[in-house]
Amino acid sequence: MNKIDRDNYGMFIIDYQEGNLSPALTEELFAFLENNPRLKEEFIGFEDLRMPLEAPPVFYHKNKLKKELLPVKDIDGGNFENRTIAFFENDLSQDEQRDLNEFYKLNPSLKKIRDLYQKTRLTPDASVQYPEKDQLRKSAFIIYRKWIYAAASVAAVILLLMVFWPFQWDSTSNDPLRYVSEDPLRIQALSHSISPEELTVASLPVVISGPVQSSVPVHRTSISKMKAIQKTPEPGIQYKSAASLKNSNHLKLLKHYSKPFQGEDLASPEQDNRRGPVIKKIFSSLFKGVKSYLMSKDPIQEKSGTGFWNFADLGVKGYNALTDKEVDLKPATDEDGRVTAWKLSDQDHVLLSVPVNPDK
Amino acid sequence: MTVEEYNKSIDQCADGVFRFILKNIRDEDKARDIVQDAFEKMWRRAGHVEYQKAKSYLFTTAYHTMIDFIRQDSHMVGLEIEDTPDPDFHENSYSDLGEILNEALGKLPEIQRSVVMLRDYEGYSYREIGDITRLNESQVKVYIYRARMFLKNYIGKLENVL
Repeated sequence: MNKIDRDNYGMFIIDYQEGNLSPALTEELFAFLENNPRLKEEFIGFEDLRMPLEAPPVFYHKNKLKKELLPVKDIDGGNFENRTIAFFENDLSQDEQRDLNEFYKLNPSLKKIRDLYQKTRLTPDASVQYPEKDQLRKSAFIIYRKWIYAAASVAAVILLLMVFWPFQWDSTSNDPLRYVSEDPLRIQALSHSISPEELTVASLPVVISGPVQSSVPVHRTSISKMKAIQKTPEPGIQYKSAASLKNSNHLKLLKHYSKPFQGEDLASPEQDNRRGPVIKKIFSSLFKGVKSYLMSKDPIQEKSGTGFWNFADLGVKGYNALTDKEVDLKPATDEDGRVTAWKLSDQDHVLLSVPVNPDK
Repeated sequence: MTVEEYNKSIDQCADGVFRFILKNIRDEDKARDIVQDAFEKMWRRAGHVEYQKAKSYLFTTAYHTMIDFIRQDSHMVGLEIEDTPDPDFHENSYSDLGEILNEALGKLPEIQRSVVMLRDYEGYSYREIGDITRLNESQVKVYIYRARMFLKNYIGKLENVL
């Protein structure tokens, strides 16, 4: 901008009168006029020549030109956009869609807005593809943890059966006298005198005598069941001490006492010919257990840890469930509570003791 | 989920997840990493993820990994800005509506952009989008409506300019 001088001051005065002069230039203009009194008089005269402002023209029919949107039911200018979005989101019922279409028919000027909303639908760019799919592919087996636990448990049960079962068979000699010297025995009343050989039965701490062919089967290998019988005798069965038996001449050891234990007695002397069904029974029980385990909601969560001893513990429990034994797997600890060994015991007998190296 | 089902889910979902992430963060390398991470996570949990839910699992995992990335990366703050269109945007040249929408999409807040893309690209319901983004259905609906309104205004102004 040029400095105000005698040659150009007129332009600044016009700008001032038209309101186009900035405050800074206005201040400069007035300073210039103060320094030039003759020009100031001319400016004042010029200002007097300004035309008086006329009253602005007014158009009195504006309201007649204004348009109002025509509502359809509850659809009006305030909510039609939300309804339009809902329409394209498939959120409207058929009746609401019909009302909205009617609204647009009555207000065609709004159709452009509807078209714009329709255009906001995004479409995926099919040319954009993930380039490294082959690197994501897998060829290994997916390992189901639940199945691992189940398989490990089954394996542990089978291994324990293989370890303990031979001892069971070894203890079941065909010699009835040797057999009865280890376990309580069902005996039967006979009419003739008891022989000296049969009297060896009297060395038993407890014997059971009773009526001929008791209807109550005795599970000879089940310690717990035998205990239950001893605690709550069946009606008609008498329990006699060895001393009373020794003096009795009305009792005789039944040579074929295995008959009352049919199908139940794994340890009876005549079990060899029933080994097949027993195996079948064990595996049947085993599969039932595994099925129950796998059908449970999440048995894994009940058992914390996934170490070897947890698997072994599962195996021991499975073995006990199948054979009614009370084999126990317990840790031995030192004074500080650290596990020093794991012991496998059958009641009071330690069957196996494995020391634990704390450094490992 | 079997190995076959896992590999099948790669063919069915990898492109969609990749597009979704790429549109959001506009960083191809990072988008690849996020997709790969999502599939690796699913593989590790393949014994627990049903094949029918693989797609939802992948989108959910990828979405939350992306959110973590956005929060960690200060450069991404620029994507979170304006709710109003930039008046100078028309200086760019556009060949079609897709590019305009793409531009507008980048100006949406992250959550609005995500929900509208899940809705349009993958056809998810409000509830499914809520499951992925951990919002309730009402929130999802509001975000989608706001996004639509913004996109409409954006392309409307651009059409007037052009």
